[in-house]
Amino acid sequence: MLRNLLGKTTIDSLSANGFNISYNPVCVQSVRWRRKPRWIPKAKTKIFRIPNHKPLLPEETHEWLRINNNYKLQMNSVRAFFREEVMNKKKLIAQGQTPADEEAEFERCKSINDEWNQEIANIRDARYARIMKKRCEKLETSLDHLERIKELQMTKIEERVRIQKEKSTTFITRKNIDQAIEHALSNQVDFNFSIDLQGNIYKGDEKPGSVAKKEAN
Amino acid sequence: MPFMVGKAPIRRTLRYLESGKLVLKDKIKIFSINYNTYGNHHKGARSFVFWNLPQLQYKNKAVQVVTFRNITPSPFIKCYYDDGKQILIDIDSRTNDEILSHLIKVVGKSLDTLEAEAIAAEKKDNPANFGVGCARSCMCEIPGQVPCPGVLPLPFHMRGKHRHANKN
Repeated sequence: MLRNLLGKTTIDSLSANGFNISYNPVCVQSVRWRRKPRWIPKAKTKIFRIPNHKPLLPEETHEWLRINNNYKLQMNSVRAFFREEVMNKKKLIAQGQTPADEEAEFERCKSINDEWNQEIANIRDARYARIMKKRCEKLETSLDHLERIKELQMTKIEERVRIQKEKSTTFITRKNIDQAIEHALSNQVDFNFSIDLQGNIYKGDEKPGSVAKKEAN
Repeated sequence: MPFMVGKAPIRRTLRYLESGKLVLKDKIKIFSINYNTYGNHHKGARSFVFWNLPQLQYKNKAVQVVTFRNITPSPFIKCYYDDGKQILIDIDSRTNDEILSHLIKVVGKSLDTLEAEAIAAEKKDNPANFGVGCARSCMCEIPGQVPCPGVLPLPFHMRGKHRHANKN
C-alpha cells in the first residue's frame, strides 16, 4: 500500500487504498463510527453468523503461550531497563550530582586553580623584584647626581666669599669715614683731560675749581 | 540599520556567539573580572574581555557577568556560587587562550555534559518526534499515515474480522 504513495498525492493514494476520504479543501475529519450502542440489536445479516474458529491444539497453544510469554518478558524487561537508565541520566543532568560529589568536584577544581594561581604568583613576584631593582638603581644615580650638583654650588659660593673677603680691606666703615672724607677732599680727581685714540692722556694746566672762580670774577 | 557597528563587529554575529566554548556550571551565578586598560600584564585579560566575554554571556544568559576596570593592580576573575562559595582565578600575564582553557577546566561544564544536554534538548526540539511529551502523541495524527481507526474506519482489507468472515 505504501509503495503507491510514491509520486502520488496522499489523499488520492489513501482513497485508492480503500479509505473513504473525499477531496475536501477543508480537511475536517470527524469520528464516523465508534461502536454500536448496547441497546441497538444485532444486524439482521449478522444474527445467525457462526464464527468458524480454527481448532487449536492444546500443546500448540501451550507452546505458543510459553514462547510468547518469554519473548514479552524479555522485551518488557529490556524496555524497562532502558527507561530507567534514561530517567537516571535525565535526573543527573537536571539535578547535577549528589552533594558529596559536588563537594569533591569543587575541591578538585579548586586544587587545579590553586596550582595555577601559585605559578602566576611566582611570575608576578619576579616581575616586582625586577621593577624594585630598577627603581633602586635609578634612585642611586639620581642621588649621586644631586650630590655632585651640591658640591659644585658650594665651590661657587666659596669663591664668591673669598673675593668679597679680599675686597673688604678697601671698604669704608664708620671707623675710617672721617679719614676717607679728608682724603677725598684733599686729593680731588681732575676729569678735565683729553684722550686720543692711542690712549695718550693730555692733562690741562688749570687746577680743579679754577673755572668757577674765573666766572665769578 | 546599524550593521557593522563597533571595533570588531564579528563579535556580534550569531555564528561567533554560538561558537563560544565556555558554558559555566549551573551553580555559578556571578562572574566578575577585574582588569586595567594599561599595563602589559593585563593584556591577556583585556583580550579575554574583548573577544570572549560576549560569547560567555551569550552561552550563560542567566549569569551576571560584570567587569571592573582600573581598580586593582593585577587582573583576576572571581566566580560566585549559589551556596556562597567563591573561586578566585588569577590571570596576571596570561594570554587570552590560556585563560579560556583554564576556565573551561575549572568552572566550565565538560564536553560530555554538554553533549548529553544537547541530546536531551534535541529530543524536545525535533518536531518530527511523536509520542509522550511531543506535539503529536500517535503516528496516526501525522499526515500521510494510516489514520486512527477510532476516527476513520480502516479499509476492509485491513480489518481482521472482514478477512476472516469472507474466508468462511
